[in-house]
Amino acid sequence: MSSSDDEAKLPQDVAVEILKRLPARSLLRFRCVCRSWRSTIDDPRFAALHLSHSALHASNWHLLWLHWGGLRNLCSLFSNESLAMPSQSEIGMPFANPRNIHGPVGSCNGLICVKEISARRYGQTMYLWNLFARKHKVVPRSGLDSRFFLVGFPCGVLGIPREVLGFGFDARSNDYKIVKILYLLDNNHRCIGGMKPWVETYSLGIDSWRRLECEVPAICDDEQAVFLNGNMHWSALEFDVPWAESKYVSIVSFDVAGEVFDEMPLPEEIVRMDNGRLSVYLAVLNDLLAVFVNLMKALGHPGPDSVCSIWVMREYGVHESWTKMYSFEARGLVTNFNGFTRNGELLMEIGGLEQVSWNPITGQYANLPLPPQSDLVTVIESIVSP
Amino acid sequence: MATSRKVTLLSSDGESFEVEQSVAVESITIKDSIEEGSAGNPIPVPKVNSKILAKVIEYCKKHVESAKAEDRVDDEDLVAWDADFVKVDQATLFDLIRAANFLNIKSLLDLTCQTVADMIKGKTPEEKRKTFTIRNDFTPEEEEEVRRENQWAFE
Repeated sequence: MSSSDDEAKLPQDVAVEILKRLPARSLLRFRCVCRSWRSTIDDPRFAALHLSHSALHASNWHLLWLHWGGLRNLCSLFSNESLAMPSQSEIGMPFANPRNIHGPVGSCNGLICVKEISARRYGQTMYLWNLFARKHKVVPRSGLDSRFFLVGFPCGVLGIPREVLGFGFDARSNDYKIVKILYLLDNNHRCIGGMKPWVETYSLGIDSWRRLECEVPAICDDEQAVFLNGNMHWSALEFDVPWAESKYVSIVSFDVAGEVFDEMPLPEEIVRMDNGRLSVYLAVLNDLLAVFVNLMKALGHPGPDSVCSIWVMREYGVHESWTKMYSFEARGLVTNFNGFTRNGELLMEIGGLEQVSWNPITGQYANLPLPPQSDLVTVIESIVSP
Repeated sequence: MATSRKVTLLSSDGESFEVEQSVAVESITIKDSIEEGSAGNPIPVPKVNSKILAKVIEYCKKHVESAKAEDRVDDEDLVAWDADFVKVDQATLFDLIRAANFLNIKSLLDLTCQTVADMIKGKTPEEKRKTFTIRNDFTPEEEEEVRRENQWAFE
């Protein structure tokens, strides 16, 4: 080895400065360069550094659509920067059985939590997946599923089970968690037999579930939870109100580190709307908690199929800071809302058929080359390992 | 109006460079030593030779000038200038990285590291070892096993 070798070598911290800018695929290839590169790349602290750098650049944020109709083990990947560009690719979920339906539970730091619903066995299997590092892990089944049978379910007879899931990151203990709430409700939205909702959390760090003894303030929607500011969020209905009269009144939050639920009321204007015609969705817009409200036309009445409005909570947790940003008449009946892109475009499903993006500034719609039966999860490129 | 203050920087091979203080303090290392009063005059810059120091000064001058309100350079122009600035041979690029790291000039470190990252992104591990002059300390069997752990990344 020549004497200029030492000069040619870069100090470790500088090498890390270069490595953190590389895409996942290159990093995984470079694990075999030498031992010290391998231990750097495998170090979870490096993965965290790589993630924070990745998060700063729009080109590392992607939209992943999971198809639950048709080809059920395939997803479409779009660069978040431009949905118009046909730069998407079809990705297979390596763990997925094409006979089963797969839906997103949530996504955090490049890890996606996917639930798989099988026709053949009760309950859901869940997976944690990093599609850029091509690693996945099966989440062990929770005790909840077996308890269902202990109390004598399936329960079309006794009541309506509602299972709500959320996925998030506990920054305090550097751990990823899944929360599962099981409600057993009658038609009056009362918990059957006085039973409280059953709550369990899964921790990736210890790879197991445990029951939480805590109060759940309201009935969460079984949509994907929005993870923001260390909390999972769901729009929620009241307990003890007959189903026909139930309305969205609040947002339930779950503090992932503290493992405790809380509730934030929705703006009064939304609560006053005709609940029979209303859908409320949560999302994140410019790092703020946002609400998308879809007020549908009453049957037999003239007027637009869907009048929609967007609200943001400018100061997290401060009710008075709810601000209505704008409202608009959609070009058809909005049958699903899939969140915002990083440049503020809305993603919606119209008429149960079309997936579109809508630009609130130009008012332009763009059709997305996607089947209608797709759910969206936003994912950032990282090498965080499940 | 006060005249702008100048400082003198001394490269590792003994050459002096007189620069405006506003340019010199693009380097946090130099800025801190001036503020602590520990900087001599001239300020010695060990580990950075005259050829590299001249380039670093050129970079800092350009970036300080372009940030001035009266002299506003288009962002695109600055990006193009930066792209030209790093069109140097690999040894110089690595020297610039080491200098930017030692002198703590974040924007120059970002620029040079990103340039190297873009260069090596598509390379094979062998090419990467050559670029960084790294000795492969895996046995052939170990290397094969590490490859297999992420075989898809090589396809």
